[in-house]
Amino acid sequence: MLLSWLGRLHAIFAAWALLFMLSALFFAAGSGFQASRSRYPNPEFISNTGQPRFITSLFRADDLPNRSVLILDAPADTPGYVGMQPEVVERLTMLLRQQGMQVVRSQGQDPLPLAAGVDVAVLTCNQPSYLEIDFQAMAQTMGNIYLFDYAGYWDSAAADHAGLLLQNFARVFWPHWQDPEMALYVEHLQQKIAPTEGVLLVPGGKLYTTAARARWYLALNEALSPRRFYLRNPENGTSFVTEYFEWVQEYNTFAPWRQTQKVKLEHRDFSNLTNFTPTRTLSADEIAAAQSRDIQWVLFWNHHSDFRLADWELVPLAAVLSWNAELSR
Amino acid sequence: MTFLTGLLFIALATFLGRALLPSRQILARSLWEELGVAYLLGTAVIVVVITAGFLLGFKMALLWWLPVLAGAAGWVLERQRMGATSNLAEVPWSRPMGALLATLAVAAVLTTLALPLNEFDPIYHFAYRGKVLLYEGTPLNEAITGILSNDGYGRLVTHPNYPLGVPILEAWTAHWGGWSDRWVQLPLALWSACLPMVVAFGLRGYSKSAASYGAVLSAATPILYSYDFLADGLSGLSMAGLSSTLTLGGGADLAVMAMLGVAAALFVRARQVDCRRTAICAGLGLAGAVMMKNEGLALAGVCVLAVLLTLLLPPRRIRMAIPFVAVAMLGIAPWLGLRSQLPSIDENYSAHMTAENILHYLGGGRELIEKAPLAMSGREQPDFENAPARVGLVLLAFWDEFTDWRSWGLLWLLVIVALPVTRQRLQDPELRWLSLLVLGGVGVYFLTLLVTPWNFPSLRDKGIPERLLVHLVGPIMLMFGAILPKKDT
Repeated sequence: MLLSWLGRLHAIFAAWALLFMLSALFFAAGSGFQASRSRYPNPEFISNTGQPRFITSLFRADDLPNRSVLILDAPADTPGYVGMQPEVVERLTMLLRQQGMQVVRSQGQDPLPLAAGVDVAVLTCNQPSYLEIDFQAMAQTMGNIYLFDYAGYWDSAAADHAGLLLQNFARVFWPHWQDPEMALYVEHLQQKIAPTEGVLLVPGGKLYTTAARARWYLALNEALSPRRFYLRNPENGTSFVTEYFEWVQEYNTFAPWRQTQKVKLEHRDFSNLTNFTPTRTLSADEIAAAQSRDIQWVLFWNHHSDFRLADWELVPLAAVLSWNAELSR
Repeated sequence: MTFLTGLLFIALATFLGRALLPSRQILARSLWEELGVAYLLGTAVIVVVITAGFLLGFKMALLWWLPVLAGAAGWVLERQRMGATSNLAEVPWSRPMGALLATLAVAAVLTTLALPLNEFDPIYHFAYRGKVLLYEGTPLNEAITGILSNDGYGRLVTHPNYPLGVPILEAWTAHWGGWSDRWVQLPLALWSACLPMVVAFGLRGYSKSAASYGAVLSAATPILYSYDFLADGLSGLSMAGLSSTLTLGGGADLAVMAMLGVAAALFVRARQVDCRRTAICAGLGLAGAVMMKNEGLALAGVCVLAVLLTLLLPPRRIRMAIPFVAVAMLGIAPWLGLRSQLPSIDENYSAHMTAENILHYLGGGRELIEKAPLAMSGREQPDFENAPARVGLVLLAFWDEFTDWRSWGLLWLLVIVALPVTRQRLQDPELRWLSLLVLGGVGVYFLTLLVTPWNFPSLRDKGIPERLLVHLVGPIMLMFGAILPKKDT
């Protein structure tokens, strides 16, 4: 008797299951049956941290008083406002000023005149005039190249095209395989690398993050199959997230970049940012690995939780080897 | 074209499965039960045979034709055997119940296909290896074996020695139309839809009402579709199908569930009707479970042990147990041969399952807090003095699952209430091995998580143990249906 009743009660959960599936279908239909990023949570949580360290880390500590930041904000009672909490913007402003930086807040005004000579522009909300900003004009107006997007609205590829380096902190709320710049770069690599060719993945320098989503090599390897990708110590780099931490630590201890030289490129393969390249010569260890395999390309990258086009550079292996030859003379 | 190839696979697997099943006179079933069982059985045979083909050195391009030939032969044989008469039994459920089952089944298929692959495990663990099989033709290729090398550089692959069932199905589907992150899921979209049919089939020998009840209770179990739905409130409604709490899709947990379910259902019927052919089919189903995920191997071991222990008391029916166990082992053997040639870099649980390890953790061995993500990234110093005992964390996680109605409905409460009844009715040999399988499955997963070399709270965040316990839904429902009153209502 008890079992029968419990069974009947359990059967009611069919409605729960149906609610789940109908919701999934309804919202999938609303986004064209694609896993649209717009369905993921608003990145307010990250914004709430409001930490200035990412901004201040761009410059030397003793140089901070010479640097300026433009914060693109708006009064929170602006109709349709979505973005950082006003108190978080206040806190960010205060902390940056405590570090000695000069801070200008736009408060809904046209940002271009305010951007003259600034080093960093920070987007905090969805004000239409900010979202439709002309990156080319910003690049000409600003004194430096750094854009920070805490709201998730700016197009990194458009910023890169204008020569600006955009870091998107909102993206960490989306699965990394949905990153729009990564999708763009995958299309580019599909054109450049033949399906039968091999690529050596080489970090340009020290790995500064252990964020699991920074494992872009996993996404590229899957999306670009059957192209062959090779990595140092892949058994840790591809394993459970804690083994990946060991991979980061091991790589930083091994530090192959210390035996190499940075190489600045006049023309980049995809990005427009020539002052921000991950390229370097190869260590003896890396050369041996590349030459002992059927490898045609080297893909350099800066390890970062946001996929920024400027962090990636594809170079033919022969060209990289010629850098080594030239610089060793 | 990929969509059509996926449909072709479903048809071929079903034809093959139908041909393998004994006639309807011997093994009564309704059309829906037959379709559910036949699809899973046919799929199990296909992944077992293709895995064996890889071991023998054949490539996917050639092996692709085996299901075509076998499915076509199955269709011809079935037509000859059945003739014009259908001999199909009536469906055990009422019309409203049938409508509910059909609605849930259709919704499950549509929800699976509503989005392209969008989860970590389906993309990196399974789709990547599916692409390797599609483009390279074999898992014995540098794309998988090349992760390890003497100079420390190698190819990228997650879980290189995971079974190939799901990748085989995806690669087969992509063979003609090319890879599609949406349509390669087509053969994977039927697991939850098939399980209620399989449970009904397994319980038909008890009573029609048990079969109907078991089917409806299976279909009503929320974790067949997702877990933790709305755990964070109504705001989660718009995230339905997006988050990592989806069990439908390109993962392999429902595949193990469906295969273990069909194996158990077939073996129950094999013993009831004394049919060795059905026991052979059950063995193939069990081998199919092993082809889907590493956990399938542990569950197959538990299942075989449960069946062998049941033989200790009469009625023994060894005639059924021998072909079941022998065929399962025969089907699993090629995978073990293949796996021995694939790199084992992680998830090597058998190496950790030592008596010393188990006793250490049962005796209060502490959690590996130094392996926690925050500790490993240097953002938090491990507090070794206050590290909790692992056994407490694992017990708490299991208890949380047993009482999580969002994911399980009342399934675990049913198990807890059903077990004493099962104990009173141990003269029913089916109840004996089914309850041993359920208890053994839970026990094995408990021990596995007790000795895991990883930080248990991190695994908990990834949906463990719920994604493991879902494998047992089939045997649980068969056990529950078997203790219901036998008279038809």
